[in-house]
Amino acid sequence: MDEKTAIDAISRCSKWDGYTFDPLSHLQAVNLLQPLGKEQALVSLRAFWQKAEASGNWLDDSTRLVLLLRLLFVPKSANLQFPTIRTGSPVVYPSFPEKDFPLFPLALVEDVPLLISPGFNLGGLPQNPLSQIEFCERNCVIRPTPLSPPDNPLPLAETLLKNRPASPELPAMLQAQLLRLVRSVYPVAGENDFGFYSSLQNPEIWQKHLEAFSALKARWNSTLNNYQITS
Amino acid sequence: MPLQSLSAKPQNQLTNRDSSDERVEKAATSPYGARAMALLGGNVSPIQRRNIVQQVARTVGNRQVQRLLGSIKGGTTGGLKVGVNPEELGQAEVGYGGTPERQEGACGCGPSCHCGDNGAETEEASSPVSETAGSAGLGGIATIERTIGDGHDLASPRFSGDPELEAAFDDERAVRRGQNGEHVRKIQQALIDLGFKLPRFGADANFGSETSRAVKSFQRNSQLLGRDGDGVVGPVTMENLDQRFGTAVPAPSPNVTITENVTDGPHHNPAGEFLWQIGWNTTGRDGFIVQEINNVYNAQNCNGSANNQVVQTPRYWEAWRVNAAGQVTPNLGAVNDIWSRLRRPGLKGNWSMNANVFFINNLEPAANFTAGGVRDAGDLQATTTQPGNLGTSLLTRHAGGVWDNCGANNTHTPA
Repeated sequence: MDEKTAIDAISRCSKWDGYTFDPLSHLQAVNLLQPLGKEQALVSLRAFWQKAEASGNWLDDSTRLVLLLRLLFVPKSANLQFPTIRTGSPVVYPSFPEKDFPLFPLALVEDVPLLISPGFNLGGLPQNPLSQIEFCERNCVIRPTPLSPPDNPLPLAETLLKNRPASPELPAMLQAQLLRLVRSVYPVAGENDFGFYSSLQNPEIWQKHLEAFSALKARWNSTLNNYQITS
Repeated sequence: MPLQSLSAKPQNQLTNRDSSDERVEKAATSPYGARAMALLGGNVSPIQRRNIVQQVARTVGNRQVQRLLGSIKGGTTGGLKVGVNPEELGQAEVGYGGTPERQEGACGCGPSCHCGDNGAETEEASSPVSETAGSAGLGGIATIERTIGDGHDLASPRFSGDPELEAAFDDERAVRRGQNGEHVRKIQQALIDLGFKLPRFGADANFGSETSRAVKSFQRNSQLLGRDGDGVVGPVTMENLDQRFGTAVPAPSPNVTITENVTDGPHHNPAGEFLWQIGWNTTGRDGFIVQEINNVYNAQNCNGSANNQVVQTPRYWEAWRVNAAGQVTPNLGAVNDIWSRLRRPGLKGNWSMNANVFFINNLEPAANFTAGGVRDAGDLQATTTQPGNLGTSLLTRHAGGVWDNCGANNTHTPA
């Protein structure tokens, strides 16, 4: 794989914005970089940041990179955790405390990355993501297997929310993320809009999506790195 | 000379649980007891009296003067006519900055004044000092001594020297609903300036329900809880308000300039999203740029209930190193500072960021600047402890917005 392909995949990764986050973008990038091995993956990640630095889109590019690092690498020791992302003051829902989620602001549920913090406020300078790359270089291994999400990922929102009372917007925010994951086989109008989640706050609408997607009998295709409807 | 009778008025500031004999003993055995007793016994000339009081105040502080006067009054002097006025205490030396000219006529029918049963304002002609001091009788004099110039004083220019606000700061009298006067107007204007709206009455000098709500919002924003979050301006709230408006004491300022070089924005995007990126330019060398940030963030659900998911640091200081060549670090390319607010679709609210920018030679160790020490500041060295060596602000910055993403609304306007 050439470097441009790798950089393009990283560039497509969603930034830290819970209202537009697309799990598929990160899932595909992980599965593209993972077979390269740790050293080559790090080369690609550094090349991306070198290019991003020149663009000046610091905030978005740095968060898309550090989120990807949390999915692509695994600390060598159970005692090690990814360092806190110093990019501002994040929104932390009380029932989703950072200490419970070592990949915060992500939660990896059955190989599906979900963003459990909608964003952050900053009045300063975000951390240069090179320091997070260096942490991974020193203290992590590349994940041993590609990410392999379930054929029907939509119920994962309920899985994550089980026993965790959430504020009204969080369930709908997660549901919108899951709908983006399956958009290749189940496109929903307006799903890329950051206000899309609002429509999902009606439980009946979400129930209809669950039923409709289940009826499709879609499957995850590891070769395509995407969902596919099998006849 | 507006001398007053010790027994003329209640002195609720000076509650003393000791018995009369114990108070006498304390006064008599204190290092300045003999002088104070002589003063109070009247066996001194006016000049001697003044010198004694000034000496006591200089040496042991105003609180000690107050204690002495309070304990003696408690049991030994009875109806003895004694009195002290601020001149005797030496206003400049004890830090009392008020002037009779300014204070005359400042009385509203609030806690600073005595109001008749019909609510009309009444003033006690014989006690302009206590009037201006905001309290009564010897209690009033003691209040002057205790609340202003006692080393525990308000620092910001807008609050410093106001007797009622100093009293609130000293936990003597809270500013609360039902009060009115200039001190209330100052609180209201401060709240407005910080982004806590008083849409109906504004700064009208009357502390009503709207002001109480704004105070509560400020308290929530300052993470004040329990008693400190009750809509009443007591010592903790007063301290927090005071800190938002800087110090009245100018420190030496280096002869440097700081300007901002905007690299992107400011962008007020939908749903409350905001982005502004700048780099610093300064003529300063071998030092630090320090930026003080004051944050306000109020979000509401569309049904009007408060949405408190965003918790941020109300006030902090962040620093950049400036080397001998004038390079400012840390940086990301040409960017040193990014102000961003996240998207909050399906909500409405307002936010503001107000900053003062300083140049200093060294980061004060006591301020404990730490890289990543304040999450809002990202990776910068930052602290929530006010540095004592900032001097004069060389640049002020502001950004703010009001957004509404409820129903068909989709607005975010600068404010």
